[in-house]
Amino acid sequence: MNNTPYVPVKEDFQFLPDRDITTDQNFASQGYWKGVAISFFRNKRAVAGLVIVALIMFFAIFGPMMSSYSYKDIISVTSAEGKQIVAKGIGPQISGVLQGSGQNTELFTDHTFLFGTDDVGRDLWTRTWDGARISLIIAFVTIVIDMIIGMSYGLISGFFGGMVDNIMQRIVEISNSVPRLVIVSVLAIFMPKGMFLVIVALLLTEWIGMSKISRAEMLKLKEQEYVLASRTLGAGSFHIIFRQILPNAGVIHAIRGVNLLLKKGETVAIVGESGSGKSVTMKAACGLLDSNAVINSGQVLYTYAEGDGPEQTVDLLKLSKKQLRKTINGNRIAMVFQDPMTSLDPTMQIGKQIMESMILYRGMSKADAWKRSVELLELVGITDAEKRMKNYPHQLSGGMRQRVVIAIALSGSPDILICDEPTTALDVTIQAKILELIKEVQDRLALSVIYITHDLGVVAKVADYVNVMYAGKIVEVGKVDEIFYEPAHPYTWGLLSAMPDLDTDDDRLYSIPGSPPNLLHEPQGDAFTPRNAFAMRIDEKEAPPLFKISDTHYAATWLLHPDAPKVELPEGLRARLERARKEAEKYL
Amino acid sequence: MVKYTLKRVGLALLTLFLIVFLLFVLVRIMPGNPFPSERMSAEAIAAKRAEMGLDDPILIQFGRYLSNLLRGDFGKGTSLYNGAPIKTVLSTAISNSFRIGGIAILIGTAVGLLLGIVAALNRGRFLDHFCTVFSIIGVCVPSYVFLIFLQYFFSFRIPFFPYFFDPNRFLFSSVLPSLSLSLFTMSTVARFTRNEMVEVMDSDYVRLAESKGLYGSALVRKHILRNALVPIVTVLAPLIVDLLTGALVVEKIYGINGIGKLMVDAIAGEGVDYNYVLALGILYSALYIGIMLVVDLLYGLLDPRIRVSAKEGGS
Repeated sequence: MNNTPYVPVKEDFQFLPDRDITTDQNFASQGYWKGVAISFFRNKRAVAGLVIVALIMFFAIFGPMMSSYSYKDIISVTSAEGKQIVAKGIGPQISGVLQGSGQNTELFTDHTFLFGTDDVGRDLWTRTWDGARISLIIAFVTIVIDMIIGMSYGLISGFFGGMVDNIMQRIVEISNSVPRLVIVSVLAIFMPKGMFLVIVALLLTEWIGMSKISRAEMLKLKEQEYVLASRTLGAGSFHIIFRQILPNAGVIHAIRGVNLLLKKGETVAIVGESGSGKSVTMKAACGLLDSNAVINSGQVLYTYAEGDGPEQTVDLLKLSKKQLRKTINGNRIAMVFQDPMTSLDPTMQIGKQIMESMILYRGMSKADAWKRSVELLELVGITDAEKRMKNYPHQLSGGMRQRVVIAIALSGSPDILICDEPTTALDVTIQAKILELIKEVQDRLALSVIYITHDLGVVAKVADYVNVMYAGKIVEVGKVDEIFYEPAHPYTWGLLSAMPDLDTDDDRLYSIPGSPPNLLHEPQGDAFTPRNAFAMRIDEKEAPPLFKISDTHYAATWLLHPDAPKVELPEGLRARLERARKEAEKYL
Repeated sequence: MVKYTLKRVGLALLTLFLIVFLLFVLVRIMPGNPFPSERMSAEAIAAKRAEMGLDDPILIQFGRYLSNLLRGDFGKGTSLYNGAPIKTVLSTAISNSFRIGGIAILIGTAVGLLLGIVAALNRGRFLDHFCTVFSIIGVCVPSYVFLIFLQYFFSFRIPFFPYFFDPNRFLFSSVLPSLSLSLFTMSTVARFTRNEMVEVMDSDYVRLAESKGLYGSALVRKHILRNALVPIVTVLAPLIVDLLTGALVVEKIYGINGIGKLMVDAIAGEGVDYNYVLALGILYSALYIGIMLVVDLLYGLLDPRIRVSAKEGGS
C-alpha cells in the first residue's frame, strides 16, 4: 500500500451506479477446489511428498516393463573359459557375457544391475518393483473401497445419531474385536494363499478405522453453527455431509486499522458483525492469539500504577509471553470469553479453577484462596457457593458457568475487564442478569470495561464510548449518544436500522444486504463498498481515513469529505432515532 | 461408577462370547482338511476325526468346546507339535511374547509421550520438526527392518547383544527385539500426543487459563495434559494388543517362541491347524476386548463427565 495520502478529484465523488447489492459476491464456493489446490502446492513438504509418491508409483507400474528381465529369471554369467556361473548375490556391475533363463535367453554384456542380484541369482531391481507393484495394488484397491465404505458408514452413523448410531457402533465394536491376523488365518483355511486373500482380509478390517474418524468429525461438525444454519436454509443432508467438511486455507488479514482508547472507569464497546475482527483485536492486545497468528505492526500501550508506586506505561506487544502472563494476564487485565460451555476446563472442579491463579501467582494459602473464591462466587450471584466449589463445569447451567467465568476473571483483582460477547451464548432471560452483574461488579470494584458485541441493545445499556468495526477496521467511534443519535457512517446506519423496534411500521426486519467480505482476498478501497447504498467512485479506489466530526466523534467515510455530496439519514432511520431520543428525554 | 463398570464388563463378556461362537462356527464349517493328508491314510483321518468329535452336530461341538474352554483346556493341535495339548504350548508362547511386548510398551509409551510433549511445547520450531520427522520415520520403518539394523550394529559391529533369543538370559536377549518393537508405538504415541496437545492448547479453556496468567509447566500439567490424555489412551489400546500378541517377523528373525510365531506356524503348513487358529483367535480377541475394557474404565477416571453422569444413572 502506498503511504502518500490519496488526493481525491471531483469525479471521485459521484455515486456508483445502481448495483444489485443483494448478490453475495464474496462466497468462495466457486474457487473452492482451486483454493485447496493452491494451499497444497504452496506447502513445500506436501509437494516433495507428492513427488516421491509419484516416482514410486511410476516405477511400480512401469519398472518391470523397463527391465529386460522378469523377476523369475535367473541371471548367469558365462566366464572366459566358457563356464556357466549363476550370478548370485552380486553387486551392480557385471562384465562378461550374461544371459537370463526362462523366457529371456538373450545375451547381454556389461549390464548394470542397480540393486544387484539375490542369493538365487535373480535381478533385485525387477523383483523390487514387481513386489512394489503388488503391494501398491493391494493398498490402492483396499484404500479406495474401504475409504468409500468406511467414511460413508461413519458419516451416516454420526449424522443420524440415536438408535441408528447405536446399532452401527455395536457392529463396529464387534468387528473391531477380531484382529486382522485372526481373520487372515480363518480365511486361509479355505482360500488359496495369495494377493486376493490379503485384499479381502484388509477390506474386512480397514473400514473400521476410517469410519471412526469420519464419525468423530461428523459429531464435531453437527455442533457447529454453520451446519445448523445450512440445515435451516434447506440444504439437504447429503449436501451438508459432503460439502462442508474441508477447512478454509489461506492468509486472513484480520486487523487492518484499529485505534482504540480506554480511560479509567470507562466502558467502551466494540461493535461489529461476526468476522469483523473485534475478538481478535482484544486477544492480540492480551497476548491470547492462536498459535498461527502473526502480529505485523502496532502497539498496545497500557498505563498503570503498581499500588502507590509511580505510573508506568508499557507496550504489551513488546512483552514476552512469560512477562505478559505473570504481570498482566489475570492480574491487571482479565478476559471473559464468549462461550461458557467451552471456556471452563471440563476436567477440573470450578473451585480449583477460581483458586488456581490466586495460589500460583499471588502466593495465597489454600485456605485463604478457598475463602476468597467462595466470596467471589457469592459476588457473582451463585447460591450455595460452598457446595458449588466442588462441582464440575458440566454440572452447571450456561448462565451459572458464565458467572463462574466472571468470578475467575475477577480473582486476580484486575483493573480492566474485557468481555467478549459475554451474553451471546446465553438465554435472553439470563442475558440481562449477566449484564447487570457486570455493571454491578464494575461499579463496586472501579473497573474499566471493554465490551465486544454485535448487539446494539447491549451497547445502549452499558457503553460510554462506542467503536464500530467493519472488516478489521474501526469505521466510526464516538460517545454512545453521538453514535446512536448522530451516526455518520452508512454501516452504522445499517446496524441501527437493523435493530428490531417495537414501533416500526414495517412488518419486515431490515438487514444490511450482502455479507461481510472474506478477508482471504483483501478488498481494495473501502471494504464496505459492495453493501453501501451511498458508495461513491472513490470508495472503490481508496479506503477513507477517519474524518473528525467532534472531539469525541470520528467516522471513516468519504461522505464526510468537503467535496462529497451531502447525504441525509435515510428517512426511516431518522424517524426512529427521533422517537428514541424523545423516549430517552422522558426519563431524564 | 459401579454401574458404569458393571455395564462395561457385561458388554465385554457378551462380545467375547459372540466372537468365540462366531470363530468356532467359522472354523468348523470351513471346507478343507486340518490333517496333513500326505502323511495319513484316509482311514486314519476318519478315525482321527471321530476321535476329535469333528462329525458331531455343530452346537454339540460348541457346547463341548465351551465347557472345556472354561476349564482352561484348549484341546489339542491337529497338526502342530504332534498333537500336544495346546494349553502348554500356549503358555510358554504367551510368557515370551508378553514379556517382550511389555517392555516394548513401556519404552514406547514413555519415550513417545516425552517426545510428543516436547514437540507440542516447541510448536513450529526446530524441536517440533525434528520430533515429527523422527515419528514419521519410526512409523514407516517396519519393526523387523529396525531389528536387523540393530542386530548389525549391536550384535555384529559391536558384539554385545546376542543375535538370537536365549530364554536363559531373558532380559539381556530381549533388549533388541523390544527396542525394535517399541519404535512404532513410540512414533505413533509421539505424533498423537503432539497433535492432541496442540488441539487442546488452542481450546477456549486453555485460553481462559492463560488469561488468568497461567503458563509453563503448571499450564501443561494441570490443563493441557489431562485433557489430551483421553484420546491418547484410546490410541494406545490397539497398539498394546499388537505388541502383546507378538510381532510375527521379529519373532521369526530373532527365534522367539512367541504367539506370533505360533500363529504363522498354524497357517503356514499345507493344512491349517484349526484348533490353534481357534485358540489363538480367542486369545487375541479376549486380549483386545480386555484392554478396551480397561481403557473404558480409565476414561471414567480421567474424565469426570463420564464418572459423574454414570453416578446419576446415565451412561
